[in-house]
Amino acid sequence: MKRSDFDSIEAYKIYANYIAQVNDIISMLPKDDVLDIINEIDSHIYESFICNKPIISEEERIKTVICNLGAPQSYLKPVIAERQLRKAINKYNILGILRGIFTLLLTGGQYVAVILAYLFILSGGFLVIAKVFYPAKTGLFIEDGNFIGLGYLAQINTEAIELLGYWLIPVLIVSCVIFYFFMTFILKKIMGIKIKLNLKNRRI
Amino acid sequence: MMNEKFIDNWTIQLKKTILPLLILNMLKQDQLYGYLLIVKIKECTGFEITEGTIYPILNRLKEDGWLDSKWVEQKTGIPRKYYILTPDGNNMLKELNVNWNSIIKNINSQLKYETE
Repeated sequence: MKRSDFDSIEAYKIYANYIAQVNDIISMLPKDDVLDIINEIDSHIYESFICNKPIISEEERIKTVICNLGAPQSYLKPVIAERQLRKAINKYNILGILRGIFTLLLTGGQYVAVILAYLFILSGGFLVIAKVFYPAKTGLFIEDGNFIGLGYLAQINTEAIELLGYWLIPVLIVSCVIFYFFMTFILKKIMGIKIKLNLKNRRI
Repeated sequence: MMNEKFIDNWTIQLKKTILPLLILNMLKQDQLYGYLLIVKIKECTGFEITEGTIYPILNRLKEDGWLDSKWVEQKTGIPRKYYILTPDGNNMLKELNVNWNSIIKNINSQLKYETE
């Protein structure tokens, strides 16, 4: 809607403020998606605005329209998170996947196990760096044939032996890459199953 | 007080569950844009819904392949986004309607039995 669609500047300000909020929330989406969502909300507001009784002021009408539509974050965040996650999974984009999962966690409390798996992958990256700077304290440690730990150990017994040496770096990198692709593949499957479950739930 | 809260929550959940079915059935009759769809739902069911809640459902149904959409220019300069039931959506809707009718029939017979 344009400024010329309103007689009251206050009504226009309320409308423009709402659209600005929507814009802020969806700004991370591709331009085509942003345009599509903004146009649809704009269309909804316009249709609702002209259908409201003109006996009340424009300000009251636009307030009613926006109140009926609800706070933009309440209905846009789940849509955004799912769109982001689907795109990130298809491109194997780890940052996009993490961002999408975090948003879904905030909106729906799901994917806890998946996010833990991705954090495990990130911790592998941390160990590679730790091995470079603290080679004696980082690695795969055993003592008397028993496993003590894999990672960075602040205190190590003198009898403990580190098994891999600098082989730890390629082993971790290869493991993390394999695990990352495996997890993303699993996540793709989960998303697919989720769609099927949604369908099944509708049939129950 | 507790009963009222339980009934309110139960009613809200039931409406949420029914909305996709209602939307698909309405779109089977005609192509509709978001606002008109909401008006029709309110008219037919008397549901008092937050209008924004319809759009995530439409988005989900579209992502699942049951709906498609197209923008249609208007004389007012503000285009409308029309939603259309896809052939896959139509097939699924047939199954949903059969299941729905079966559920309603079974529940109603049970409710009748309980009140006798």
